[in-house]
Amino acid sequence: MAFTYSKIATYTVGSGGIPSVSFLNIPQNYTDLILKVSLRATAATSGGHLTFNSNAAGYTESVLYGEGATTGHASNSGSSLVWPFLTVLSTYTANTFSNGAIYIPNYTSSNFKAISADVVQENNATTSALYAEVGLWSNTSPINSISIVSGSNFAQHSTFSLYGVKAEI
Amino acid sequence: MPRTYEPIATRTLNTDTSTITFSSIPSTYTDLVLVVNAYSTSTGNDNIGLVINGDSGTNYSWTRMYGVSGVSGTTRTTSSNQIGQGTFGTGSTKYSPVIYNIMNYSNATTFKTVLGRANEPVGQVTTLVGLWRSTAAITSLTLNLYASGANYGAGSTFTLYGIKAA
Repeated sequence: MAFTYSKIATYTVGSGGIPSVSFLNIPQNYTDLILKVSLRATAATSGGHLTFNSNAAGYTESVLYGEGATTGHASNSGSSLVWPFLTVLSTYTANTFSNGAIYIPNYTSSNFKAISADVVQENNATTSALYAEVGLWSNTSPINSISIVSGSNFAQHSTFSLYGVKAEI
Repeated sequence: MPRTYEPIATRTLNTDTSTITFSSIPSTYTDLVLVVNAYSTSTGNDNIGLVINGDSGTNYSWTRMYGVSGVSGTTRTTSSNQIGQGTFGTGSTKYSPVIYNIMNYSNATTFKTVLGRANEPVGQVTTLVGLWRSTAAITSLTLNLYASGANYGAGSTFTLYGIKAA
């Protein structure tokens, strides 16, 4: 029996951390992709960013955020998607990690690719945050790889899991 | 091993279509997930709305948080005829991912709550909660557009998944 929601690949960061994670040769036989991450950085610098197909152009994003006691909205355009990868910094409360889910519908289509992401960090301090984001990769190519690069290194015990969802009845 | 996450129905539009309905939803799942990747043919702004069991009465309320143009806010509507106001993109370069989660949809005791995320690439972001004030089991879901005369554009996709907790 075919499963609707299947793990494609998962990675847990080991001792010493790593600067990036890539999912390559993503199978093209699912309908949607879901990327789930749990992240912490090894330094006091900002978090990760994502590119599709190693392509560094055509990304725009819009985020509704709550940071501590502040809410707001921001937009960005550039060479990658930044806000889905809110990352707990090394200076934040020990043993805390951000958690995020990035939904990528119709990733094999010939349309521009829009994503919906929700990511949070809570660390019993004023630096807590919640982001709801829409991102767009203005490219018609099917997505066959995803790369996530840290602003420093992703710390040990950070996790990255890529799932495929099949809409076949 | 039993499957816990199954597609109930899926639809890809060959032509522009004004409303999308999933009917005869089986009651055998625990929760529903409705995934939309679609755009409106409206030449202005548009929003997506959700109607349950074809109930066009004022039996819905919703609260949303939104972010757009550097501003964030929250709005609420009571006694509405649908669960809105889901941010939605217009034009085929703005396929909009919208995801509704509907928990415990088949019980006949409680009013039904919907958790939604709606997006306009790349303008407005919305997260919302909706309530349908009915104890009836959910057997159909209809997706409307706000803009007069607007359609869901050809190529838009809609998939309803069921999740089994057993």
